[in-house]
Amino acid sequence: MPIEVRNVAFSYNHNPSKRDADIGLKENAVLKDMTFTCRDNRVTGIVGPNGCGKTTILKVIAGFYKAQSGTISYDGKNTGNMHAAELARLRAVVEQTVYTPFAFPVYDYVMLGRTPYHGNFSADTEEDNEIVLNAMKDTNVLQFKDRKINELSGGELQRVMIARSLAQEPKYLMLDEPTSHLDIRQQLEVMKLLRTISSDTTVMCIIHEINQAAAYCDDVVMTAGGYVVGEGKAEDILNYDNLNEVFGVLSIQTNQPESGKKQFLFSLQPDTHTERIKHVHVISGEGRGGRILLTLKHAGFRVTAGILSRNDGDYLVCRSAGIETVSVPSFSMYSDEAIMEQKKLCDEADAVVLVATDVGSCNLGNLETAYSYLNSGKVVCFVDHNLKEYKYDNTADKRATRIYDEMLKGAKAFSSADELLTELMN
Amino acid sequence: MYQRKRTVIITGGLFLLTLFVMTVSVGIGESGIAPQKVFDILTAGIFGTTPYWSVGEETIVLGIRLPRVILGALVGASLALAGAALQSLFRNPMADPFILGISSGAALGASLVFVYGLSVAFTIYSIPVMAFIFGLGTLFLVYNVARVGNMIPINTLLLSGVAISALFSACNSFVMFTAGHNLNAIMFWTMGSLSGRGWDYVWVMLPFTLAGIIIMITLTRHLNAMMFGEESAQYLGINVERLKKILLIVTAVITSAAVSVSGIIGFVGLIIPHIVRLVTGPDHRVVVPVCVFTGALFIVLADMFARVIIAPSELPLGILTALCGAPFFLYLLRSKRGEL
Repeated sequence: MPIEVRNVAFSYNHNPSKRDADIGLKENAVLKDMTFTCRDNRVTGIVGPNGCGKTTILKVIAGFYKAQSGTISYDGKNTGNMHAAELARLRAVVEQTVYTPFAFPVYDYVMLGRTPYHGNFSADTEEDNEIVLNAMKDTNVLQFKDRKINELSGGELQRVMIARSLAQEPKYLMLDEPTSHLDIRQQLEVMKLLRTISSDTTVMCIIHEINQAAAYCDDVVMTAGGYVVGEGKAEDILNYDNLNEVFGVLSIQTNQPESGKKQFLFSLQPDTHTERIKHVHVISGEGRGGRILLTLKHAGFRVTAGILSRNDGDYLVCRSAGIETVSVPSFSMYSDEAIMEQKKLCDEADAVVLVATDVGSCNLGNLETAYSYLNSGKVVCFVDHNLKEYKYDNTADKRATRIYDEMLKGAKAFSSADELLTELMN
Repeated sequence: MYQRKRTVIITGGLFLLTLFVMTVSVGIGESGIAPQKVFDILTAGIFGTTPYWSVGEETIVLGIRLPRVILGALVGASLALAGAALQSLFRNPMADPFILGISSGAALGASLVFVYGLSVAFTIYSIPVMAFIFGLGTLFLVYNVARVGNMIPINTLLLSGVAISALFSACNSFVMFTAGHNLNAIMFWTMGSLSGRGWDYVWVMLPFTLAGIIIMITLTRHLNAMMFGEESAQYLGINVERLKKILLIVTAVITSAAVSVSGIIGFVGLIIPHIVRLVTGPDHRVVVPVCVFTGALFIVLADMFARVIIAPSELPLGILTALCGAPFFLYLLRSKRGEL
């Protein structure tokens, strides 16, 4: 039962009664050319920056707006000519919010979900009652069954709206930011509920929170500027390059320890940009260099890194951002080749940056390398995120502490990536 | 929670109450007739009661008061029904049947007849016919101003209603300004009255009201869904554009019909649906039938008072409905904040 969206274009400033094949070429078209598929029994997240047409495409798919060109089909059936009632027995939509000035009881609101199954005069049946109560149980709203819809808090209303959509018994469920008004626990509960529902329903969900998309969506469709930028499994689509291209942010990827799902830490791109390409070599580890590496790279520097162990967070950052790296296998001493390679990069570099980390016998070599360039005429920078607070020194003769002291005295010291960037720009 | 049984009981009870009040009302006026006698006169054809009343009394009951009371009930039912439907359509508890300017259009039509004698060959029916034509014409204008392609955006509809209503009010004021000795007649008409309306008016109004009631009863589930906006309603399988058109046309036709027979009776369409919702909850499956009888009851009672308060002359009905409607509405507004 896939939802297939093929070459859909839509503009608000267009006579809705006309169909126009070239609508997607017009500048004011919100949707220019959208093609993607929401696969069976999966949660598909629609991700993209504000104003990129996520809500519009949902409304087009749900049949509220008619696409001015292109087709939408549910399970191979074109929805273009379906009656509203027929459509309502197939799909349910959870809007961002609903409003009414009238004191409508919650139970009756959920019962509205049964509307497409009723003629004008048929009464609500016992079966309807059961379906409604089950939907309310699943969304955990049974306790405010008798309250009025206009007295609910945002989070309560959102869950009641989901209950109503479930009462519709849809094959396709579409939700527009279903977690936007919820506290963190409720957000997770709703996302978990969507996963349960997806066992027999195709779920499509606009989602703002990238980490929730990464954790709970099977597939992700990434949109920007009226086009689909990427479509596929969440773990493939949500990556450093796509997030940077679509949202213009830097992301450091981590993984949920138990599920292995991707999660991201985000930061802004640097505002400034260098004209002349300088080469900076960054010596870091323990994931402490991630932001520095990304910030420098996006400011236009040629960035290299090393020596990094392959299970280091910084190594993952370098890999996802395409930064040239000297690396060694996890839990091993630095090889001579690696040390030589690192030296070569440092020699070429205009500046060497040492990021303070905890030090043991394994990575002491990194410190020594950086130290050897101090007073050699090369720019050497030292970044300690909480300046003057020494890192844990596990070396036999407190060698690391001595090097750090020297670095603080001899090198330019900084406490953040932004300070470092400002210095290197000059 | 909606219960069909409860609805039937409430509606049935109200129906009987309305019949009772109508019977009482027929007996009340300048020459009072006891309810028992009224009942006997009314049912003489059915039970074959031997007449113990005068011919004059029979004429007053059957020829003068009965059509007037029935017409009042029809007008009240129509206005309350139109109000309930429009409040759901506009998702605005302040909406009333005159919100789209039907009253000002109809009033203009009536004034033109009074002042310039635009009788269009209908002679004594010129006023209702012109009021009806102008009322519907206003809606047609408002509708077409607001229309974008095949769709009618609700906000544009409201605004164009307000604007065109203001325009026609201005025209009407101008006509009244030039009216001279006809001014009184126009004023009295615009304040609404059932005075002197006979069976011919009843026969004209009856089909509109009945059709309106039947259509609205079939749309109650849809009206419920519309309370949450057009988008919600569409997602629940309702053809919203069609529903909007049906609602607009039905309410406009029954409102124009009501205005054409009785002039402008304000506040009924606004407050009756409110009062009903306070008692029954906002589910239209109850609200619509209950509104029909409550509206009828309200106008029959109001007309009864209009006849007796300053007897032997009559108070315009619109003054009375506004006089009791407005304070009651204000009371509701203060005491039931947010609970409409």
